[in-house]
Amino acid sequence: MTTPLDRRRFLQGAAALGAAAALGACTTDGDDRGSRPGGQVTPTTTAPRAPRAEGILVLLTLYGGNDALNTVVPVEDPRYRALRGALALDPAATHDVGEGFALHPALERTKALWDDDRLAIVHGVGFDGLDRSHFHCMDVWQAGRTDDLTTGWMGRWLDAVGTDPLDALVVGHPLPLLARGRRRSAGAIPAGPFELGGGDALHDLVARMSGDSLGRSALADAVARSTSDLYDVAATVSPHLADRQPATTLAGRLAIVADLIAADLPTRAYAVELRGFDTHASQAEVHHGLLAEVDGALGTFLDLVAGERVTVVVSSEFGRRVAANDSGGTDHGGAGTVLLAGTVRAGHHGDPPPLDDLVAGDLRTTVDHRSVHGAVLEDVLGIASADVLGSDAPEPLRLV
Amino acid sequence: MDGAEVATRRSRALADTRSAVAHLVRRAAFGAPPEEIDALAAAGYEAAVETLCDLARPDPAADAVPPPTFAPATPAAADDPVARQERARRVATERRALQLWWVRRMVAADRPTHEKLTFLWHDHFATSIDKVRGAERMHRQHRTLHDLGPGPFDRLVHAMARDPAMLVWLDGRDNRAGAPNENFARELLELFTLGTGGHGHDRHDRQPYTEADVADAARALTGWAIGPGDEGVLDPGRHDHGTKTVLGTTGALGLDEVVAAATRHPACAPHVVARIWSRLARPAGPDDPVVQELADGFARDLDATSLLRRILLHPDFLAPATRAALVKTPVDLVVGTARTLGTTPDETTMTLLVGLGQVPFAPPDVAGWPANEAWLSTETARVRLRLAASVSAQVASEELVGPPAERPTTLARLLGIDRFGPASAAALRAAPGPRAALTLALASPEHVVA
Repeated sequence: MTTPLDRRRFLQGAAALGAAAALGACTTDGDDRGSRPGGQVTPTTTAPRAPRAEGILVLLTLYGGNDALNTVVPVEDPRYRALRGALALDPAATHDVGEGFALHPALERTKALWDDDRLAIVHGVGFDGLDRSHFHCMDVWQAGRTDDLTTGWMGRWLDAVGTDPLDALVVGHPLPLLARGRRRSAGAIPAGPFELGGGDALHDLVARMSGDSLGRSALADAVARSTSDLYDVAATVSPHLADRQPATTLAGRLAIVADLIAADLPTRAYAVELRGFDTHASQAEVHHGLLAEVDGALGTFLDLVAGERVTVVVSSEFGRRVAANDSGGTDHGGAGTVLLAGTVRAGHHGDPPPLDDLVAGDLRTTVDHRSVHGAVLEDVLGIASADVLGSDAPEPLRLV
Repeated sequence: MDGAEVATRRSRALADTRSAVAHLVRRAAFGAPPEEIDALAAAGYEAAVETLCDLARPDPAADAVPPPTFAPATPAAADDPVARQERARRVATERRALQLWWVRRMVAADRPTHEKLTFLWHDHFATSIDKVRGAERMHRQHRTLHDLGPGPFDRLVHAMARDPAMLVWLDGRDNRAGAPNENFARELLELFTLGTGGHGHDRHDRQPYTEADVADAARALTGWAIGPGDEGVLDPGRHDHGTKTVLGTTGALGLDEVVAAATRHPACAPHVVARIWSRLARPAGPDDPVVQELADGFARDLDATSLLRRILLHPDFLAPATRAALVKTPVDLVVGTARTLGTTPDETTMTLLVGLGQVPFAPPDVAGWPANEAWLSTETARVRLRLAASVSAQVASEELVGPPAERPTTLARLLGIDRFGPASAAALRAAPGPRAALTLALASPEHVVA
């Protein structure tokens, strides 16, 4: 088994020998992974990669607290209209998904996914201790537990499975808690052109400088690790991002993910985000715009990866207060709704929280969030839920 | 003790002082050129702290950086697409100008600790131009943070509670009698003053405020609007004059009473001190013994400059573990590099800051920017290398970096680093020229940690 240190030593050795070019010719698939824009050869590993397992996971995090109740809408429940007042959506404009629910009017392509059996809706997802704090709730959500919020569940999956910085990739920055493990972190890539700049001689030295932890503090060694991982990511990813314009939209970020999936990277999990869901005021217009962005991006992305076994999970740190406030918005709330799209067990999952049994005005949690993380860990990434979430995590749902 | 031994001890003590002062200047003043560190160290560590913490003096060098000019806000007619487009273009231009202005100000300042403190308060009361839109309003908030930042914390909170940018950012202007909007009230208690009591299973038993406090604080803060002179003004007709109870105080409470109740609550000082200590010294929660000790003093007068001085003079601030405990934030890295090497940030610098994920006036959310490991990814590593190469291209010379064998020593002194580890030192000596050597030094792990 190759440890990260071994790989860096290998890399240093290759750089020191000036053998990068020779090694570049040894890539198993003979493609252009060894080259950077400009045709330079990178001093990086060319060890054969494990064959890609079947499932690819894409986590789309909506920051700010997406209004679950106006995303998957209980249109047939008279209490919905009474509690939501002016923010209640007109049932005629929504898209029926059965069992008394309908999708927000902006979710047109999502409705097409539903009709195509490619959408799973999980109702009432939250955790014991939802406290309306964005930051605590998002930390718990990404940690996948409540007692220790120093690592994310994707990061602990990385800790468990191996050493390749390409196992998981985050588009953008800074690195979310989700992607940070005890020993490893997901790789991160720009939402735009991937340029290293500098010349081979410089990068050989940077790689050498970053390859040895001798005499450094733990934090300095973490800096060095991020740099040496960069060369692994660069060699594989940069050819696919070479001529790309900076992506300013969710659709653009997901298009990058689609390109990387099409390029057959070893990457098993991707994370992207969209911000702005904290709709305390003027929600009708703002939320419509945000959901339209999600809808268009998701629809286009799944078209781009048609034929691949890809599961997208769309989630947020909490839902919003059932009753609207008087600023035309909603305040922080309780349980949320998670959407899974692509390769999924289509249909409704979990018990919809009843509107006549609220917790301090919020939707009650009926599904522990770990049952959703566990579902994709087991059925997309192929690892036992308990190995990442601990043995006290509840049984995963069967969503994929 | 013979003469030689005395001399050796003295030079060792001087080296220790210089190392401590370099650490002080890195953390509290964005770094400085080596001669400036020498000068501060010559007077001793305590004197250096006093010099940095003298925030009352004016700073003509910082004030000489011209702030952007703001076009008068003309509400564009909703049905005039040309005017709307023009307005959007102007908003974007003013935003970029404002962001570059502050970074340049940080670089030019003679009192960089004042800029650092202002940036810490910006991070604490994190408000983003993404929602506020108007650059002039953000500029005004900056003035408030800058002018009131060194003084009493309760006064600063009071000013933030009726700051126009904040009234937009957290919807305070929509918060009115009979129609409370609790966005600002919640963050006031959770982030700005009290905190949530830390993490863990029993956090709810320790949370210093309740949902009822949030609801009644929101009612007490109703009626604040943005007046014609772009000032926070109370509209009595929109204020809830009824009885509320916030953190144990009951009455016809308003903004004054809520700010007083929150800033005098026993949880306030440890929460605020933990935040500032974590950014300047090492990550710590409100229960940390050093934080508790500093919070005892802060609770007495809530004076930010006194807190700053006590942090920088605390023995734990100079402990080896503290010195290795932080990753430079992108702003620290960019401003520190420019101050140390004498470069001037430009549009390219700002693009690199965007790439690194930290641009002033645009925090990701109301909790401010993340810290430490969040800044370590393959992507920040990539942009840090580009930043290093870009700065090095401007200033590197044989004279600056020294002959190959001496580069590790010369560059460590230049960048305010104690020493490079063997791997970095070997790379520096092997670099094909001064430009590569300086690039390597700037991108080195030793330089990226604060």
